[in-house]
Amino acid sequence: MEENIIECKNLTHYYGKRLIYENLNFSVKKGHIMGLLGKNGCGKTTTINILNGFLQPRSGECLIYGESTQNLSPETKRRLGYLIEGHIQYSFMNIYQIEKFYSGFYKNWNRDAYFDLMKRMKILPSQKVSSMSCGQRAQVALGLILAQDPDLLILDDFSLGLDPGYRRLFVDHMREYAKAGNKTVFLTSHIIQDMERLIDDVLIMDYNRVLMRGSASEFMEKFHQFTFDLNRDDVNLKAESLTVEMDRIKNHYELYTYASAEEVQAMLQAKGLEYSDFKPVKMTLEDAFIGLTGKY
Amino acid sequence: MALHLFYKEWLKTKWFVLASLVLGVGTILYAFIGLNSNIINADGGSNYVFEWFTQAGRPHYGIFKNIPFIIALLIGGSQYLPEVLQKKIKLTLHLPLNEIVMLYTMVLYGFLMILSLMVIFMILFFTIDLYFFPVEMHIMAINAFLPWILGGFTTYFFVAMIAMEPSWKFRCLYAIVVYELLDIYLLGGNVSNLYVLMIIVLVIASLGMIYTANRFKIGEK
Repeated sequence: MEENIIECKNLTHYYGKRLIYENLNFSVKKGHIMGLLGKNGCGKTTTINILNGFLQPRSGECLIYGESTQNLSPETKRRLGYLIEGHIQYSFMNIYQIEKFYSGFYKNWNRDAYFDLMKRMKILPSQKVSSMSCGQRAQVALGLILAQDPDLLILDDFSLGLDPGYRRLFVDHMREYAKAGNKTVFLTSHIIQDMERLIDDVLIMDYNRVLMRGSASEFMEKFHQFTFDLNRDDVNLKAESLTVEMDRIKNHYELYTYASAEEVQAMLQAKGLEYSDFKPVKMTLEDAFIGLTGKY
Repeated sequence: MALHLFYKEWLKTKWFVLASLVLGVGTILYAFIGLNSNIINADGGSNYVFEWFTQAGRPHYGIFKNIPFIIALLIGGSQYLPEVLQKKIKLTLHLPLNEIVMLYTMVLYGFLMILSLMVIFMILFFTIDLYFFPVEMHIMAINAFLPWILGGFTTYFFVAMIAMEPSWKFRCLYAIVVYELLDIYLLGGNVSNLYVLMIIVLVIASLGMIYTANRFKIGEK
């Protein structure tokens, strides 16, 4: 049985009286890359803060390598790489100074991995972090993680502020690094198409609840989108048990469901609805996310 | 690891340490330049100056009164503001060290910097003062300097405590209380009976960061 590196049990959190989530449970297995998806304000950063020990949940707990995230030992912290939202680093340091500073804290520090990436990105050792673009800062943060060589990476909104080229570079580097070294990764991002290239497992959250948790590929196999036209434009299929989400433009319907095409067609026939142009639609992870959570 | 933390603190504070050094040395030299012209110009020379110090209560070193407080604000501000902005302190707290040991290593750096500056200032002051005044006058000066320097250290500890506080409302509240509390270090005159109180406030200030850092850690708003 695969070892759980992260294990969150019965997490409940409120900000004031506002419930963020109740009894949230999830785990991340060794060597897996899990993506946390959710709309703004559904609790993604709250979860990251709890995992990093910067927030005490109202109840429940998260364990990393069997230790409570509220009291991680220095040995466990050494195995943990953390990327703060926006690739924040010490802006008063330059490339050389920041490497010198961090190298003192990690036994297996690999300075070549860091300087190789800086060289490839044409970032000079004397360049200050404060004078860098967001994309360059992301490469510095990535270089520091590669040099630290952690067993577990927690990446908070890693694509924030990056253009498509930098995003792709970051994702490709990260996937290669994680898979080659059997690293465990827990990450969030606003840009779901980046996640698709990276993750094995997915946790999709909505306000106050979990919509889906499990293997991303299984989810993409089981979750479907069908489009069809009806001869009426006033049919509401949202209440049907097989409907997860539905959208309609005039008499053109989009239905998101875990049911098969046959089951959906049988449901339409049972309701006496005449349909035409019934088609399955190939979805990206972003389409599936929208299908599961709704457009707004 | 402590040396690497000191390295980070040095990168943040080096220009402010230099500015503090220039400010302190400049203030002491200015005090003696003023004193020299008073002695030269006054009828009765040094006797006049002695009376002026003791009876009018305006010694030449009075100009130094606020310097330890200003230096504490400069060093404390330069150390903790870059950590608080964008919550970069999370990067520091994530390092593989006990969090309290880490925070107090940062505090130790600031404390040692202020201590070093004060030692330099005192050596400079008393070396020059020896040229003008007898030992009795030096004892008066030591009694004046001691509360100011203790006040400087207390200010520094309070800056660290306030910086770690996660809520702006509480930060403002602490700042008001601290501003009033620091008055005890600036009373002047014979304050020997207040030293115990000053040291108690200093110790409380030095421990205050444990409380606010814990509030930051559990995500208090």
